[in-house]
Amino acid sequence: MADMPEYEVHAIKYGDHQRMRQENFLFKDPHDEASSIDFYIWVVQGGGKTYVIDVGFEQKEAEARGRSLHRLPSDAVRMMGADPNNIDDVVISHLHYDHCGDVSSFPKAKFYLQDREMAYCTGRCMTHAPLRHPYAVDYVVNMVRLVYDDRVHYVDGEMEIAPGLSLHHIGGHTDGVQAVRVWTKNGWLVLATDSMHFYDNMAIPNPFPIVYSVGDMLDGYEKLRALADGNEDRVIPGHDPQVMGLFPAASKELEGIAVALHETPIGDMDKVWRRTK
Amino acid sequence: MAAHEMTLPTYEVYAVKYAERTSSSHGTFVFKDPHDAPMDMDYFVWSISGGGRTFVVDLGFDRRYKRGARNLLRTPAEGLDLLGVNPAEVEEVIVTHMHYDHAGSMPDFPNAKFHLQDEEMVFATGRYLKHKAFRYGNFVEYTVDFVRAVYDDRVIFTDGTGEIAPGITIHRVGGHTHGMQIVRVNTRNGWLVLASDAIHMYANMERQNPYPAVFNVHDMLEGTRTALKLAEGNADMVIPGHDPIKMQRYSAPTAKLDGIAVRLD
Repeated sequence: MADMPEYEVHAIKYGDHQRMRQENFLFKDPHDEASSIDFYIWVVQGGGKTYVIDVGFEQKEAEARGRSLHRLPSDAVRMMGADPNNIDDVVISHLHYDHCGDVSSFPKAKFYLQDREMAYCTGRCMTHAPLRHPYAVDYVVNMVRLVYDDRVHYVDGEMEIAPGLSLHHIGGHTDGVQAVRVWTKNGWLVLATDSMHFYDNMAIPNPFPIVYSVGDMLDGYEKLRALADGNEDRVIPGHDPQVMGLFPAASKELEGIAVALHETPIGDMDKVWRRTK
Repeated sequence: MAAHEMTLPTYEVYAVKYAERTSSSHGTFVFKDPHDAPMDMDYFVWSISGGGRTFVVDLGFDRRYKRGARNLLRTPAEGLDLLGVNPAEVEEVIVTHMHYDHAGSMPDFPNAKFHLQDEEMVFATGRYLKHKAFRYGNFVEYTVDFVRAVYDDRVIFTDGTGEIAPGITIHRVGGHTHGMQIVRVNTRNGWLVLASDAIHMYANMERQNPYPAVFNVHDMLEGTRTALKLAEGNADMVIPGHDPIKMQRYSAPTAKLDGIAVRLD
């Protein structure tokens, strides 16, 4: 593993939404209470380069869906000291509205996407309103145009985009959702994105209710754990507000906005993963 | 005719020419002949009517498409209108594949649903478009029309073979594009097969030498066989997608439509 850079990885919160805990689970959960869902992008830096994972939504879609947008995803990238105009590689975990909205702020980038994601969100599954709902057709169309501009790099399953940085098809939530594995000073870190929304989805386990294949989603939780060499503490959920308290802030100024996922957790991981009563 | 076919309605089938261009035999065959000869191409859409219903096959291209030396004589909608088919009233369109000259004038058919193969949408939005050779056949504005139509619930997907109405079926053959489909129609003269771009020219079929715009040559050769089989072995009942000879082999339904439309059944 000597040739792999130890990457720094940050989760940056760009929006949130208040809702009930019950909305996070497929099967009825005994505890209903007020809860929130956070919206993140992730920035991976190392080997002299910056990689962006997902590009969130922008104002128009935030308003259409009643979500709070705190900052544009491209501005979140700037907070990490990188210029979106110079980013070469953006990973799109999947094409739901909250992961692919700000592509136009990355004029030089190639976008890494699973074949099965585009097929899913332009094909017959979209003739079912519940499966269609999380997609914004304008964002899907933007990505189709990027395909015709030869700026989409399709991935079929697994791919290494740099030493120590790889993409892994998971499926379940959508047919083409992918996770990202990154080498850090603390070993492998797995950005589950929406193959695990909340810690409890995987810890209980009780799948997230926006789901294409429940079997693939449950299998996906096991795949994520395996990608982290069995250490679930190194698996980062896509939408859990707890992430902001479990890892140290990127800096004093970015308290509550960005956390350093490559660092040792500062929160109680046993409690999060329900390993203690 | 088999007994069960006696009960099927028969349909009238028309080809409407909407554009043309000059080409040559070297542009028409995968395997080149030493002598290059002129071989022009016509562009068509088709209508199928019977049992009080009208179906349209393909959307051609419209004035938004400005690439290349294709001479647009009339939009497909204008051509159908001349034939007495009001595009605004058309409810079902079979789209054989998503190339620019077959998938283009969706805005002229505001009340239609569109029949498409699953694999065609994957092909028109997927990984092979990184190759210029494949991107060239599609026009992104038309592809975008189709994606939006999916979200408006106006695309009906088929995986393989499907029945559109009694006596009208669609069949995926692939080859030219991965989701290429052909149409079989019951007519007064038996089964007629609209091969669209599974077979561009009569000569492609006769010489077993496919058109060079091809994704998979084997599938394209098999597609020719499938078309013949669906026409019960009668090559005269297989209608190629782009052959100008069609306009001479068949006659116009009225003198006014001379050079514009021919009846194929």
